[in-house]
Amino acid sequence: MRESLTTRSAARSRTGSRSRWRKILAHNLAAYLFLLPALILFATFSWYPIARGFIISFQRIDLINPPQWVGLDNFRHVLSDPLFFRAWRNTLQFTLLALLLGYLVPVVLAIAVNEMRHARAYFRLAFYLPVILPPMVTILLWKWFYDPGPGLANSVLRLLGLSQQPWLQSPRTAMFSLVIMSTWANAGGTMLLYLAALQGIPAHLYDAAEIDGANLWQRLIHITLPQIRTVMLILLVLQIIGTMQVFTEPFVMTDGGPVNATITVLLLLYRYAFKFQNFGAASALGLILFVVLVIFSLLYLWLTRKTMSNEL
Amino acid sequence: MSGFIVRSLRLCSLLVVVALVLAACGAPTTTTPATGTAEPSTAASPATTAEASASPATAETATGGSSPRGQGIRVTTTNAPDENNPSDIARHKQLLEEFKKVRPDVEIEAHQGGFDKEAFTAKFAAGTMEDTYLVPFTEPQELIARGQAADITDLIKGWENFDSFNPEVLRIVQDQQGRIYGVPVGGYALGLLYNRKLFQEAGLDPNKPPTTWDEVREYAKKLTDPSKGRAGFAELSKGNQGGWHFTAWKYSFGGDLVQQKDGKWTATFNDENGVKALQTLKDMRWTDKSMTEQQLLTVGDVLPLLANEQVAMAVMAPDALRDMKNKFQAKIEDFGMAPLPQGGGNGTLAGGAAWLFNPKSSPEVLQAAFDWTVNRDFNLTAFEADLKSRQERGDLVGFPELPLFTGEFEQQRQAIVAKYANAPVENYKPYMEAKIQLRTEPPVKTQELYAVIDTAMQAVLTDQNADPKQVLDEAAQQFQTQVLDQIK
Repeated sequence: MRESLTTRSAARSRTGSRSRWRKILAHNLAAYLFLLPALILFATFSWYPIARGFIISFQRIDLINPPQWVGLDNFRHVLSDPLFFRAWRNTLQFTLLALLLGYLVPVVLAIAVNEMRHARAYFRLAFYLPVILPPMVTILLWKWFYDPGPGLANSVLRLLGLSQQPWLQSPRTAMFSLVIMSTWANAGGTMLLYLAALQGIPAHLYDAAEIDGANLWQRLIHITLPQIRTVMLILLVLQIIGTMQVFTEPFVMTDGGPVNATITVLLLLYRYAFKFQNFGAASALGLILFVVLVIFSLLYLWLTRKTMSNEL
Repeated sequence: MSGFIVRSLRLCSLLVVVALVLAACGAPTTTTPATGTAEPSTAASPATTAEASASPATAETATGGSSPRGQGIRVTTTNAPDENNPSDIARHKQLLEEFKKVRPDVEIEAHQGGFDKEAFTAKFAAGTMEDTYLVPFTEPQELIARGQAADITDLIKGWENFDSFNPEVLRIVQDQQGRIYGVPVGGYALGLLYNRKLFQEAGLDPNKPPTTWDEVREYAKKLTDPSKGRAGFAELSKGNQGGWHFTAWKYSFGGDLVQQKDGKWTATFNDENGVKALQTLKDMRWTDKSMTEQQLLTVGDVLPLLANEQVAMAVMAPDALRDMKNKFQAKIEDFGMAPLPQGGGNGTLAGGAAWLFNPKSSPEVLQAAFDWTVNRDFNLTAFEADLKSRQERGDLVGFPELPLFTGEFEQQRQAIVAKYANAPVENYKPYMEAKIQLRTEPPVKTQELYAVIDTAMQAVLTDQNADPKQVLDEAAQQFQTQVLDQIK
């Protein structure tokens, strides 16, 4: 008798919890169903490959024999490659140059466009236009610009009476040339973000400043820049993350040359994987880059959090 | 927080790229079809002259099979004709019709895509490899050693024209015991492509192209005309193509790029002859100033320069002539082809393609696949019909190819070529009559080798202070320690 009671109550509580789950599920079923395609797609095309990437960096894979665990061999291989440090140096050089040029240009453009009374829409479009071009088109166009013979860049220099440059043809100038191109191609997008930030500055601040007799420069220093400071900081971090992954420009224009002057981390990774079929080394290098980028991502996260709480 | 995870994980998209390739094992490959021009073995599809327009048709291919299910033999193959190229598709249809006459019981299913190392390894791993597949000359030895190519000795010896095969070429698909694993179907040997009209204008005899590198230097100086933006000579140095061409230079000066002793490989491309080769190139660039200002060139960059008379001479494979005509509207009668100039080595680089066969296919499928490949590439009726239609379509017919056969069969083939040739065949006489040893690409870690040599080529072509010996020594040392010494 007692036994049957306990079993019954246990059964009841089981059905109870089951029905609670069923209720929750039924309640959110539609939501889960809507989520499902995204979850499946992310899992298949994003999370699974990423997880595999981590695993592969500790394996030797030739796609024929079963993968072999090799411990840190791939990392040793990557770290002993003289091109590894070359690639990091080049990547950092690109990032730094891209910050010097590519970070300030959009700010200046945005402020200039914002100050315009006329033709603002035209300039906004004109500066943004390169962003719309497919990267390959941009790159092929600039290949012509940089032609050391009849190219546009040297023609301009000739007109100005300056000495001709070898542009992509010399290890000294190749990376710088890539940065100029990449700035031209990307500044427009960043400029739009700054413009949006600029438009968000309350007009009464400027009105008050003008009443106080502040000139253009003073308004810039005391109102504009402090107001868009957080946006600038966030974009700075984003740009570092973005430029450290530079690939398309050197891949198409120089293939890392001349004399490895433009080989970047991603380009090296690409070579490991797709030219030398060394997927382990490629994944190991990817993991190293990942760790570096995570640091910047955390910084980004912290910055966005801070701005959010400031604004709230 | 989860937003952050997603975001930072996304940053790691590079890992995704690598892993996707692995995850994609077995998926049908979407490799770009052959461009047709000879390129180093890295090219997505081997570019052989015979293979000119040979790559893929899909749906149409599998038609024809009216035979009831279960009776017909189905053969899968790579290199279906290019879907976007009507003349490729037309040619393939014609070949299928010819084949139907011989083997009405066989259905050919051609898949898109030519040789692609990672795609092929993936297909082998997944067991989805085609019954017959086309690979560049660098690959058969490795595939044979791995047991991924079927022994077709008995099949090929039963073929009526087997005795006519050029033994030099056949060796590329043989193992040490002399067993045969493939059907070589076409190829190229690097030579010197030059503009006869510009030769004449410069007071040079277009029938006497330079035969030594010293002569090339002299000729290039005379052909250079800065006022017209014209360079006498151009050479490749990007995308591993610099290493590919340097290999030919090295062969022409003598010696190997790598040598094997007691199972251990040693880099030897920085020897005296290698330095001589690179020094010649450097002298042309900086002392003679007879080369293009623009460097970091690939085949695709140099062909338009040749077509526009901005460059007078360049090392090329003869099938470049076809691209010059089709893609760049070059006046093809202005161009001549000479053997690779020499520096004492009497050698040049030869590449090409061979059909290999899947060892997992059943004997009757292998027989059918073999019949298809020899019919496709050597059936004289199909060969003639193909050349005829190529000529009618305005394709270039008659540019030089690697002599696959000897004796009567080769003469028969040549007679057909002569009948439909629209290329100025007499312009290629120096090339055809040359007696230069054909050598294949270096057999070990070829792409890694080419990559380090690209760097050395770029050094002497973009920096007038670069020391050829030093850059080659560095490249050799790096290739030795990083690549050769790592081979287990």
